[in-house]
Amino acid sequence: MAASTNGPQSPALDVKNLGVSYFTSSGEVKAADGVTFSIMSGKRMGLVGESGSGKTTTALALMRLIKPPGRITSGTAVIDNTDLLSLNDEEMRNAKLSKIALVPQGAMNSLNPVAKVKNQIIDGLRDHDADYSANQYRELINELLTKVGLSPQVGDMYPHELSGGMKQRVTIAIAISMGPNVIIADEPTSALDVVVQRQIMETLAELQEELGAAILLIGHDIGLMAQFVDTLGVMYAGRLVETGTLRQLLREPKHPYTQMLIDSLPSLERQDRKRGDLRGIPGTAPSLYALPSGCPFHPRCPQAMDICPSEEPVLKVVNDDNQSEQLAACLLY
Amino acid sequence: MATLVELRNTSKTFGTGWFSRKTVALRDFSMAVDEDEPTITALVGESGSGKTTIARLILGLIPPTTGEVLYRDKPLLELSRTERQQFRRDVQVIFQDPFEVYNPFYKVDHALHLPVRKAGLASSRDEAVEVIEGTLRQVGLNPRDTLGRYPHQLSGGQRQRVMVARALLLSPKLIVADEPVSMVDASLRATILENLRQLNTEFGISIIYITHDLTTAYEISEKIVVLYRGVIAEQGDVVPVVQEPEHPYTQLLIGSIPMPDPDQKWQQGLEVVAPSTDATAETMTADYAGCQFADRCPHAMEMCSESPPLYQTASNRVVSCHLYREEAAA
Repeated sequence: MAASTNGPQSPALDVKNLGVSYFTSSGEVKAADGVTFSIMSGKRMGLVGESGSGKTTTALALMRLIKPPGRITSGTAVIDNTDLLSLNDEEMRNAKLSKIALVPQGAMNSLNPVAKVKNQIIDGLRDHDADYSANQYRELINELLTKVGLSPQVGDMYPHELSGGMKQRVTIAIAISMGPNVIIADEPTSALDVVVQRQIMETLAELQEELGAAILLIGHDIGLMAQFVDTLGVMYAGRLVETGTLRQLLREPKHPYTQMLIDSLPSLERQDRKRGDLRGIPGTAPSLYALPSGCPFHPRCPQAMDICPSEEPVLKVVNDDNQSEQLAACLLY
Repeated sequence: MATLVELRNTSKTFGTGWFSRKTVALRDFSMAVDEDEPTITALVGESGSGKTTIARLILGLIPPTTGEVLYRDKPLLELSRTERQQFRRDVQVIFQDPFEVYNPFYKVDHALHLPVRKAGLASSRDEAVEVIEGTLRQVGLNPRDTLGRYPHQLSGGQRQRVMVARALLLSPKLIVADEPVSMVDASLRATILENLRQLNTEFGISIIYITHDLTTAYEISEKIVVLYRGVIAEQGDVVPVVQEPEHPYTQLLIGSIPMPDPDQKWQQGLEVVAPSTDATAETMTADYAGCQFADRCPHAMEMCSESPPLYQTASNRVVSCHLYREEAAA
């Protein structure tokens, strides 16, 4: 699958300084802190990190789905000159599906078990006051189902009659139903086996190229990212610690966390080490209630310096080849 | 050569067949774990391939529909009380979900003290604590950070390692690990797999590693069994099977693994036929006699309506595919 190349050079999604906090009885928990990135139209970006690193929080914040006690505390997320984070509820309703759409994690739980697939697909369209006749709806449903590789008969079925892969295809059909500028896919294939995973990601890529939309793929499988995205962001403890092109991050990771993450990947063949030479990352992810001072990674970092516990690093350009910048938040640079 | 545990021509069928069709989860499967030569064997397959059914048969949690499960050459059901106790010590398990195996009302100590008490590993409370602390250190956990805590106070990786320690406590001969890292973060996955391998190399424990992830299977195991809808597709030493897969299903599986490498994109031109739910249900009924993979196979032939036997293609390797019938005969 070739990565998409051409497209106008304007960011489809521009996120600046996004902050999300949960206000609990034991204090404020910063689930996302100063998250800044952008995706060009027609491009795909991946966001990786372990559980609790803030990747799903970022996705939910962009969809404005953060629920109390959580709240978006700062930042902007601009699509098409509109800041999603400052819209009122009614305006956000309209922006969903038409500007930004979500392909949720675990399709088995995100479809309504008592509604036919076709009704779930047109639900969103109806909500946006689309003025279609019954015939037009039928045609549209058939078209959408065909696009995601399902037969039109699936429209008359209920979710329990479909396999996991087919359900995930239905959620993709819903997500593209109004031609959004940005599609957020939150671990769309984590519950599927590799063969089905590949087919679904290929379908998603085709549709995105057709729409010219940008994709933000959330996940923890760097292998899948390597097959799919153009640029990659790595999150740790609610912050973005490194961003860059896929090649930069996989070939020359700069942040020690990224380096160790890539080193820990199991692989079928690798020249630089022998089979079974497994390297984990020592220690555990920090609790967001009690983040280490300074750089949150310093207690686990093999390259930690004296300054790391006292100074918090910010994203800096660490590698600038041609037009793509690689940024890392590490005091080594 | 003494065999510790053996599955001899076992099949497992679920469902009564009264109201719905019977589902065959495992067909005529044989496997033996040798006592003298500890190995790591990976059982790999997608959901519904029968890998967890095999684990439950080995552990004696379910009886086979046909065939036998043997412990030291004696069927499980015929074991005497002491033999059964020995079996329970020799064969241990690590489950997939480190969140659900603990009783949330007890501290994790409980899960460790119980086997010590039941197996009579210590004569006093202090001795028990000593044994437990020693075992925790062996899997790389600090007893001070682990003991005295409730399961929810530990991370998923820590909980899974406590389970590894629990299995190790009884000095078993075989550990069945059913998807031990599928619910653990990538950064900890390598550490837990390393723990498992240590059990094999340092303590001489055989491991049956059950997974859907071929890459981790390749990293830690010596032998591999690729399962598809309850039958063996291919079996052999892990390096040749992964590097040069023979069965069309193994080829498809390996071609679909996303490699974390920007220069190694998904193999193009690989024919991918999606499994249809109907076909799966049909091939998994008891009277289906053909090759399980035929409906998705790009090489399907007329003779695939007959189930292929296990053709031996190399000294340590078998493939259940008619494509290899001549090679095996030669």
